[in-house]
Amino acid sequence: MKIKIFTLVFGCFLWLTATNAIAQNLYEIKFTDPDKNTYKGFMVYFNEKECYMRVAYTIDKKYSVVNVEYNSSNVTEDKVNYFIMTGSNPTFITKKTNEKDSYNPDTFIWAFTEKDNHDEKDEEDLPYTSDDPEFKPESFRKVDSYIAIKAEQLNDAYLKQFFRTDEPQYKLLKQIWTDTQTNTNTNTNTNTNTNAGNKDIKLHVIMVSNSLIGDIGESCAADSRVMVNEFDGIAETLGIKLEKHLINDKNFTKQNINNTIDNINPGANDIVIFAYSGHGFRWSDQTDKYPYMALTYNNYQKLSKETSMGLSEVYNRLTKKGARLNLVFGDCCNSDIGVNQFVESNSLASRSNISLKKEKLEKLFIKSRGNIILAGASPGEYSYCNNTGGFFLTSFLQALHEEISYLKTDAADWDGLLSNTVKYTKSKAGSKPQNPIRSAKISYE
Amino acid sequence: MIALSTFLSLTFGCANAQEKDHLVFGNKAFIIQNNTEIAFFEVENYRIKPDSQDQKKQYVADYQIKKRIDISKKHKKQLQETCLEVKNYETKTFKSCPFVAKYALVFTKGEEQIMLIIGEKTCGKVIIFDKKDEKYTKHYDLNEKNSLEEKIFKILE
Repeated sequence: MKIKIFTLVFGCFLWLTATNAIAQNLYEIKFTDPDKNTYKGFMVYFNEKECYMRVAYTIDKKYSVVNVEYNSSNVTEDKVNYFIMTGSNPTFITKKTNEKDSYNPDTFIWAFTEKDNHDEKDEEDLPYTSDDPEFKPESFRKVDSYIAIKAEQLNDAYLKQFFRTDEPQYKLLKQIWTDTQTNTNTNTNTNTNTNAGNKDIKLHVIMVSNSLIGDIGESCAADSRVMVNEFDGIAETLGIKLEKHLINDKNFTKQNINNTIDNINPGANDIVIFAYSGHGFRWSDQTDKYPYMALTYNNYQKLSKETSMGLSEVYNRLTKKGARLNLVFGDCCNSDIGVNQFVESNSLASRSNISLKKEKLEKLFIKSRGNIILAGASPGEYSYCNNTGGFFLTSFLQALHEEISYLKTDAADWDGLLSNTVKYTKSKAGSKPQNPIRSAKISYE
Repeated sequence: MIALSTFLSLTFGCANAQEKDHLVFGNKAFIIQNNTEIAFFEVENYRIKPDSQDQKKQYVADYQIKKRIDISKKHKKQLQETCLEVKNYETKTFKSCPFVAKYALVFTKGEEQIMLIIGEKTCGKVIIFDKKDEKYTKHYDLNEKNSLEEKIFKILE
């Protein structure tokens, strides 16, 4: 394990993010209480505020299943970062033996230090749990196991451990397994490529991240990794071509961005995504509501017209290239730098996301047409991040995962996705004002 | 909620809980605590690489000094205390605004020197340098209601 601060999307599962599994949201946790009773939990995680776990256990030969709702939070103390999932509102799914039966919801705590290496999962990664309402330290025990659940495991026998067959959640989860089986059989029997119609579409991704800058470089690098992984997975899932342009480290220059924009030639059915993670600002006399990107990667470089570029300029140049769908993201501040513009002129859907519903992903990326520009903050506002990424881009990915999930029954659309991106960004920023702005003109086939 | 320090030491047995290093300055806090000299400067916005520096000018952490600001004994004491207040620094999140330097505070104790480069108020960041150790460099955001900027503005009044 490593990392100073947790991702707010899925902090406790940081080791998974390194392996492109951030979109996974089904987990199994086994734990034992001080009386040696064993518990098996099946967790469905949407976001920090929406998560539930079905806990199955047998005591006195009586099999019980309880539903517990979870809220999660991040705490840092003495250079150790904690991701805490607090259970509440326990309700019995199985029939109670008597009315006095109760269940103390469990709390789970993951602890990470800077020395940890997330690329390798070992026993040290296991969280601690307690059902003591007073959280006495001595009541915390390490869980027995904690794993991500694969689609193939969601068969009837597995699900019936936690759900009644008349529950809507059971039906949604079972559909994941059914579709997996159908896809496997189709591919085995007929060798049909279900993505054949998409093979002429190309996804052009331009990821610009200020990975070297002293204060937020680590966060920007994390954004870049996660976003690129995400779009890798989307392209693979949809069977479309992918062309990646990564602008980071010492290549993080205005000239490289200009060259990249000039050189991409999208086809009429292509998708172009430009994502920026770095410092941003607005000139004191600026009228455009979207921020400028600060294209300097150390404090020896002066901020000027030569080292900055408006997000709107990127949008205007890209949308003129005629791609079917253009998305421009800027995860950066939009606050006044205190200088006028001209004063200075002299100088998951990843492949491992088992809850992904491909039809929803297709609606967003294949059956939609138009242009979207999003900035992480309104004029005058800061955009916040921690060492695992910007709140805005993290929120976008979180909203995307939800929008394309089996576990959400609503139809996917960009409006809902962008609204949730704004909502989650605000939530992560807490009391600090951060209100992303956007313009979206999208139609669907 | 659980007292995390207790939880940390009892459950994880983590050495960090026992360490008494300053959360912001680490083991260099003594330079500020026991300083023999405090100097306060207004500096240029951006760093200048040593090979491009004007030999006739003075620099703090490669930031060219625009002017030295004289401060009273009372203000020195206040700045020392304020710098050491952990609550002035944001240790969890960062703002994505570019650092533009404005002031430098230099604490000296013998051969040791800690330099704080304080950014424009519009962004509220600080970079901390150790004269002897380049790797020590630390970046922090200043909390919205920090008393460091407040003290500086009072001194400048």
